[in-house]
Amino acid sequence: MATNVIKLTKFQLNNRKSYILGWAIGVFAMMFLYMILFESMKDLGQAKFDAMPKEILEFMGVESMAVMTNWISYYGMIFSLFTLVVSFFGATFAGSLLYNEEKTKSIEFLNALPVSRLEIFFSKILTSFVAVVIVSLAMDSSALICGLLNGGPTFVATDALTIMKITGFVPFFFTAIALFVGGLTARVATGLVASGAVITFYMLGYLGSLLENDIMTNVSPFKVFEAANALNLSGDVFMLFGVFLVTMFTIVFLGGFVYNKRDFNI
Amino acid sequence: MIEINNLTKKFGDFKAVDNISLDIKKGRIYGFVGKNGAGKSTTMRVMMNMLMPSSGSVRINNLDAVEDSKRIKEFTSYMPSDITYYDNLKVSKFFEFNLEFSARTKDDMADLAKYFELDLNKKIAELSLGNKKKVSIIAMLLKGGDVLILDEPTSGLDPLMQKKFFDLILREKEAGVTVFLSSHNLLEIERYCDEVAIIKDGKIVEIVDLDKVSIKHQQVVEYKIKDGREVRRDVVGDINELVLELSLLDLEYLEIKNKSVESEFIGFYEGKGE
Repeated sequence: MATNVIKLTKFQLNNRKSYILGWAIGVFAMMFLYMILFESMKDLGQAKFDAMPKEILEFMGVESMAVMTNWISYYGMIFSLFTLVVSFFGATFAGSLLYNEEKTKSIEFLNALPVSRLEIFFSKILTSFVAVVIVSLAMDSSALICGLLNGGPTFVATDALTIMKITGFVPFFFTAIALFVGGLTARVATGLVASGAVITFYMLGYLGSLLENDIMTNVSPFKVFEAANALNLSGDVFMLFGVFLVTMFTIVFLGGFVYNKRDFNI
Repeated sequence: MIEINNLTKKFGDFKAVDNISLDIKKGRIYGFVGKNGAGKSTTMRVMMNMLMPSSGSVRINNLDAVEDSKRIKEFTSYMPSDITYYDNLKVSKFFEFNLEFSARTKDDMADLAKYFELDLNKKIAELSLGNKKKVSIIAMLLKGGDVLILDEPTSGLDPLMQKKFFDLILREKEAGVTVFLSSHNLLEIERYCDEVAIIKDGKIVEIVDLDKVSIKHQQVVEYKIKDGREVRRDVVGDINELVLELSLLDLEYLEIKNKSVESEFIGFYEGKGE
């Protein structure tokens, strides 16, 4: 089984390498642009902060201007926005991987190979997660390079790595949602549905903070795994991490279960 | 080799395949004809476990199409009617991926590409429909196996390539391979198949064994009497008696033609099968 999954994964990654590479380069460049501006942001930030409504700043994950003077805090704020971007990537990538295969009917070719449906589904999981890892690594390496270049004494590599590990979990959760939806059906544009989930959960987190509603913030992975929580891991966050992890595995398993039994939409 | 038992496939209330049964013997070429939407592709997709049967079963070499689909696919090659592969791939790369699941070699790939006059260095997106069809044929042949399930394999191919394709299929048959193919080209069905099933509105309306009873020794007589009556009769054997009988009628026109799969097909689709 593993051999077939690896063969299929390699084939699908190879097929989409330009797309993944494009995203990786784009995210690398954008993160570099944001993080290299850290020095100038220190001065510019206060004026901007004073001029903008508090709600807008909260929406962007900025709660105090102190973040602009500390590399790790600044990175945490920027990383939150990029988590949203990479979540969109994971959701649309995994979604299209399942949905397009049936929409274009290329599944007729893939399924005719001596592989099981579950092997096809596992290869989709692996392909999606590898793609998200590649794009995340591009983003993370870009930030680390900038940290070394202009971080100064406030750049703490271990803290940056912690944020990357904890907050970086979020895109995988939305990739799992796309795999779940794609496993259930190919009658709806999976990437679109999963992207809708990204926006919904992001908004829940934002509104939860604004309205100080714990339930809303606790169901939003963007809030639960935000940089500040990643750096001060509490028992609650650990517990929620477990809940999200179990949810992720459960929905992927359910998606695979249905995918194994349903008609292909061809 | 292939047993389809009371197979029904529903989409909602619509029965795409309605309680069909077929028994396809090893080493035969079995044709499957019907209009667009008659249920041919649906049947083949159920055989390949892309659609789940609503009821009934398909067994290939005694293995269940749902439960044992992976094992079936180890010795069964399928060619879909729609040619939708990965456009940004080079043809050679696509075949090399196929070879990872096959005992065939790169030399076989080169030989087949040469035989079908296909450029391996082009991207799939750059190919014409006919050449995309060749990609599909070669992919199917590279995988090979004891059973070939082919959904409209020659549509889009020029007549020369159609002949080349069937030359290879006949060679496969000689090696004991069972072939189940659908086609709109009734002449090729008649020429190359041993048996043919006609499907209409999801139901099998006729199975003709082209091997046992040579359909070519039968005739179809169509005539119109001047009083307006139109008659179509199948004649097996001596036609003289009928000619005598017809000589007594006041005919407006008379047509005697050899019976063919085409005449059978048209007969069923014009009402005989009702």
